[in-house]
Amino acid sequence: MPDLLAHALMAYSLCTLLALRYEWLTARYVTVGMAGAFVPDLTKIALVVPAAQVRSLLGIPFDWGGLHTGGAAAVAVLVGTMVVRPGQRRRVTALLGVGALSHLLADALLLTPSGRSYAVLWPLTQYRPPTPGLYLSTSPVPTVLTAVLAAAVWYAVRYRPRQASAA
Amino acid sequence: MRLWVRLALAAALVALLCGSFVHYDIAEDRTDPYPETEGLVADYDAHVGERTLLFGTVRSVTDGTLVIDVDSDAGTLTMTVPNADADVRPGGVVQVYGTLEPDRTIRPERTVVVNGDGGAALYKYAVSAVGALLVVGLFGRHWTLDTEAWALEVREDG
Repeated sequence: MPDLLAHALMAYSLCTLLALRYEWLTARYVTVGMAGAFVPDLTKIALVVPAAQVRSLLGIPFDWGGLHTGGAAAVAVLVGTMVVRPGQRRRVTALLGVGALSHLLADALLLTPSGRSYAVLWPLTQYRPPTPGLYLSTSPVPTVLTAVLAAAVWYAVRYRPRQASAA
Repeated sequence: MRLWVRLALAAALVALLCGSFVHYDIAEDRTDPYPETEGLVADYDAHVGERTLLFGTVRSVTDGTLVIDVDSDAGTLTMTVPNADADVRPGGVVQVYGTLEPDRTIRPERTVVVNGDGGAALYKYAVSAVGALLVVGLFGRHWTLDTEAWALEVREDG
């Protein structure tokens, strides 16, 4: 999807809905899911350290774009797993994964002139699935829609009718 | 897990990640269905007739013909896009899918305006910065770095 705010809001909605099913998934874990949504866009490190600079410095091929794929994002999530306490590792891994996955799927719907998306499942396959071309990366529409969705989810979960008795 | 085991694992994963960036660049050269821009800069004529996807910044717009600059490691490729059918001004960014013709011209099949005049990119970065601050703020409220164990820990009051 377009901007980090839209990705974060999308992850918020997803994780908050998952919290209905998993009681342990409290606000602190929802923020982990939102952080996970940033993982594929860590490619933007290229704005600070261009890949061409790395290539000329090390003399080897290099492309940050690899991070914006399923395989490398999964490895990046595991790096995240390594920096938390043992008791929280499984939950943190799951939520970083949910966030990263939602980002990759949302970006697979971006409009491209060739009608093909990117190699979502790389390095398993180089296949670039067709994209429905729902939006451009600079469009404000997804941001507005994800904000409305996030607000609706927040409201629905906050004020949902409590069950009469805890079963 | 001991600290050094954890650090070693983290280092191995980071190394794997960096390796994937190298592999991605190599694999892209090999399997990208379109010619590399570097190749076009080096020997344009060898690629005439091929289909490609260009991502460029608009330099000028005259009667529906765009002149765009496509950046690459090998330098800038300046291309002419006749009959572009794109509502864009100089400074904007377009993606052009089409066939390469002589004289650094691409016959467009489809042109997508990524941003009309450079302002949209600014908007995207500004909104992204808001998103980043929001998540960093929320994360900092709920999590803290335990400097004894060198691990992120849930805040007692978070």
